[in-house]
Amino acid sequence: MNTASEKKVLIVEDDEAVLKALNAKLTQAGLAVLLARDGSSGLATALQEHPQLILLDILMPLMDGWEMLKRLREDENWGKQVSVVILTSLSADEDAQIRHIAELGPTLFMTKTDWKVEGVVDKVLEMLDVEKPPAPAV
Amino acid sequence: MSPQASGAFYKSLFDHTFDGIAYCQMLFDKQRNPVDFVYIKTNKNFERLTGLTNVEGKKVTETIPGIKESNPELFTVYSRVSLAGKSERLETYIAPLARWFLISVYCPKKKFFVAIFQNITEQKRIEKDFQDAKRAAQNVLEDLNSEKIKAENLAQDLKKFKLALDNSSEQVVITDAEGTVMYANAALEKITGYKPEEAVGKKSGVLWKAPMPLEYYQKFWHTIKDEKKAFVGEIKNRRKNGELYTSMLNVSPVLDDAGTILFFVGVERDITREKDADKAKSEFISLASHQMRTPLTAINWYAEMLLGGDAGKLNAKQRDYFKEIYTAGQHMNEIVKSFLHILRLETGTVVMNPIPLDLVDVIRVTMKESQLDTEKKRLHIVEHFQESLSPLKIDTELIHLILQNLISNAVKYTSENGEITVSLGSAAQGSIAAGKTADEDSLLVSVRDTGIGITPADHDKIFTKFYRTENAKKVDPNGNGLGLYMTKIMTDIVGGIIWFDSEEGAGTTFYLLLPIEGKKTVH
Repeated sequence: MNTASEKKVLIVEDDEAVLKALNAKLTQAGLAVLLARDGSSGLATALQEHPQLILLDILMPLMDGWEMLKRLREDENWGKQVSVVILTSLSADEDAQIRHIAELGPTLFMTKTDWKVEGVVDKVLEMLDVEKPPAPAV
Repeated sequence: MSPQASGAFYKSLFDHTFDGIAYCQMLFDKQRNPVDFVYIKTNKNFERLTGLTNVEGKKVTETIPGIKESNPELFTVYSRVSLAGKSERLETYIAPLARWFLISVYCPKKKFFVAIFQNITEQKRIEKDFQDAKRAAQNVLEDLNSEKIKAENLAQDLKKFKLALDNSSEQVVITDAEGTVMYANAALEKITGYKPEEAVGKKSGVLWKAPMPLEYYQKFWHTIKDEKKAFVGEIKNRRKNGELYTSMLNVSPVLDDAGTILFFVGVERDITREKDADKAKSEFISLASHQMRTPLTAINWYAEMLLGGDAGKLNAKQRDYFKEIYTAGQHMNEIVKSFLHILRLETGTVVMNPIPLDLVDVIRVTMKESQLDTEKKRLHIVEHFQESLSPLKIDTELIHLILQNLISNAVKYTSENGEITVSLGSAAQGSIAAGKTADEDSLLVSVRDTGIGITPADHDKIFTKFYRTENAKKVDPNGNGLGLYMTKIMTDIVGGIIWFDSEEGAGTTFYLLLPIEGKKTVH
């Protein structure tokens, strides 16, 4: 097990509300969170900061998620094997998505509406091998 | 010539003439009406021509009984001639003798007459035959005339039809039994780019190189040539300029009385634009549905976070209200999911991966998903699974969704303490399974409930998109009316048949007939 604070997570997401929710939840879980609002700046941040995991939206301005992942995988040293979780409104059973998944190999493909935000956090912590902190007292 | 010689000469003439001769005396009553005549002298041929013998000295009414009634004109003419002395000629049919006679009458002295006659029965017969033949010919002529009129009318009709055909916006091609084009209308050029005169005389398959799979053509020819039925289907074709287009094709064989194929009549409608519009519509719905998911995610996640206490403790009312938001968000999520699913089903972009599987396992897994609800309603579950069934070749995801819909509906629409019976059995090719004939070796699944049932008025619409029955709305006001519609499409896609029996208030049984070897036809 690792401690959460050692781990950096990059969220690439153009929808402000979704970004804010994920940021709040992952920060609450004790992770260091980096934010990007399009694929282009997401790629730059990723290559510079080398986060342990990237949460990546697909439909975004400037550069979409698949294009960013493609460029990322071209980076032989680090980007080729970094954990990337696609978190999108699209479904994994659509032809186009199936092709991209096969070609670019994201670690995980999640359709936002199929998951609770808590479920997304659990998945991220699991992948980072980080223990979940106790829930805040309500 | 001496008087004796002269007498002998005339006697010989009298006897040897071919005509029959009768010298008679007319008899009158007191009112000078002719009543009879007496044969005084007849010649040899009289006998031959009339068939009467030994008539001399006898009255005609004795020799030919009934003659007064059958031939009153004879008496009139004979008496007139015998009195007036003017010769006359007549043709008459003597019915008692069944013979026709041509008679010349003259008066040698008052109240006497001589009838010189020929038997013209044969001429009359020939004449009658001729008349009959003439009449028959006339009839034939009249018939011919009316046939001619009919033919002219038909030609007029054909002209009308041909005009309609020539100008139809749908492409019409008529070929012989071998597929060689005999006729094509003007729409051919509009749709394919080929002029009708370019097409006539050529094989239809050579002109239109449709990029369709081999199975499509096999089914096409099998339907129209072997089964001799109409083939209806969509086909992708190539225009003369190489452009692809999609059309709705309908080809029917025209048979003679013996069932031999004479022609094929093919009608095609270019549906490329409709398809494009349909595609644009689908793409729009797809886009809209995906777009809706982003705000929906925010609504659901923030409601979840608030309920989870991420923004501090909620009071009871706040918790209750946020729960409403959360539930509504989940409901909307389901609707969007259904929309996208239906789009994929309708556009045929569902990814199919048929593998042989044990249907009992899938049914058990699916029923387990409803376990919470069945236990809550204390429903009695009965399973009738035939043992050692053949594996079923089918897409796991689709069969799971189909069963999920049927079982969850049964659970939803059955009240507490009701019963749900799930059965599975085999149906060999040609056997009757729950009233339907299995076209090939199949499995029959049935899901029976003791629920609210379906009113007869709803039977036809139960698989219609967005349709909800009144009694179903009472049980679940939030249903979207897409479940059975999707189930029907999915069943079609896997090559199965779905139907049901139902009695209002008593329950419903849904049947599913699934071919063991999976779907064969290409689409």
